[in-house]
Amino acid sequence: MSPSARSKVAPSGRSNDPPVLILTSLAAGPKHGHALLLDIEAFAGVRLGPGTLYGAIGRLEERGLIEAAGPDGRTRPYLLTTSGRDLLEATLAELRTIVDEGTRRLSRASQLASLGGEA
Amino acid sequence: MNGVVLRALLCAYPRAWRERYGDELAALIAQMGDEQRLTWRIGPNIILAGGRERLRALGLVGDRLTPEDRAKDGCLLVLWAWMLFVVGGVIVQKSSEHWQSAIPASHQGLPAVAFQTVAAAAALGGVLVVAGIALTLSSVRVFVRAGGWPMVRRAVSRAAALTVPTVAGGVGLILWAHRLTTAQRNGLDHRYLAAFGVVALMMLASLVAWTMAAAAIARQIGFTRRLLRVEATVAAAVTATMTVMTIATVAWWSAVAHAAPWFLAGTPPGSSGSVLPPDLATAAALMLIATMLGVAGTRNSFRNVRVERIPT
Repeated sequence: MSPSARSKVAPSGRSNDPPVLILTSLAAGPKHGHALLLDIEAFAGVRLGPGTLYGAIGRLEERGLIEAAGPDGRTRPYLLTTSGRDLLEATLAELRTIVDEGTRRLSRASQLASLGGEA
Repeated sequence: MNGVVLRALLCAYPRAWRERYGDELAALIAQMGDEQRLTWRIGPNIILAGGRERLRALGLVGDRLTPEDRAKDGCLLVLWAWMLFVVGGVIVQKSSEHWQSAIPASHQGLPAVAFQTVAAAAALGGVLVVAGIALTLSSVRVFVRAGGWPMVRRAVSRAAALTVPTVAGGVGLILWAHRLTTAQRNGLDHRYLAAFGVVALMMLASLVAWTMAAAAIARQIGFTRRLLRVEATVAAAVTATMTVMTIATVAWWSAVAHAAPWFLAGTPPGSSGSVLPPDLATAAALMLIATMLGVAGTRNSFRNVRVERIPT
């Protein structure tokens, strides 16, 4: 991933960051706040507080990564913008790199340990 | 959660945020209540999130997604630090009036140098802050021409509305002061003292309002990497002046405490007294905090301005 793409990644780049969770949830289609909370809890096991959720929504919308899809009573569904989709792809690629590298290293460490045990 | 509690909780957020997201957040909490999903954590969560939004609105914290925003936030933190420093500096200026007449000429060397250093650094810092703001004017012009004025109108109007009566009050106070003796100005005339307090509070409110307006504008306008670098350098220079002033103020204070403690204590010459008057202690604390904030802001702006993604 290019530095330019990486620098756009959400604050810590962690998989449980509210912005990452919201972008991931919206990748499946538009959702309003309540649906986002339920979906995030379902796929990530993370229960976001309402203040945390709307704080992240505000920042994502400010950066043009998501947008409101129009009024829907007192709730507004949000959807991913093209920039949001690009950012999510870059974030997931970065996380995938870390997961792959971590898995490879753990596997190698296990092999070395088993070789040491045999010796 | 009843409506009154909910409305009170939403007050934790700045008005602009409430206008945009308040109804949605209220609807979400109502839905969570219907599903029996409300816990005691909701209240603190909203209060903390609201407080964070207020700090963001003031430009005091920034968890923005781009290095450009973070670098800008660093510069804005230095601007807020400068504002805080000005408050401390005004207290020092007021507390140190006529200090030369309280100290024998033979003991005025060090305090005089320290005092002149404070004055020179204050002037330099002021020029740097004005220069830092002036450098953004072309970007502000572009932003306003592109229809951005409504986004910052409230913040600028509020600052202007506070400034007009503040200036009028300040002028009135100066005219009044010219008709009073030194003793009357320094507390003997209670009406003057009360008016002075009111004008001082109005000045503080104006200062805060203009800093908020500057933060609101800065958050909206685009900065090139070059401009950000210059602004970060200016922020570093402003922080340096604050550091110098803090050290020089402490040096002046120590020298006066040694040569003429009665001046700091407000007691007759030759008598003893506390060399830690509350006003000077408050001013020194403000200056120290402001300097630390300035260092943090400078560090933050330099760290982020190096990132490649910022447009050149």
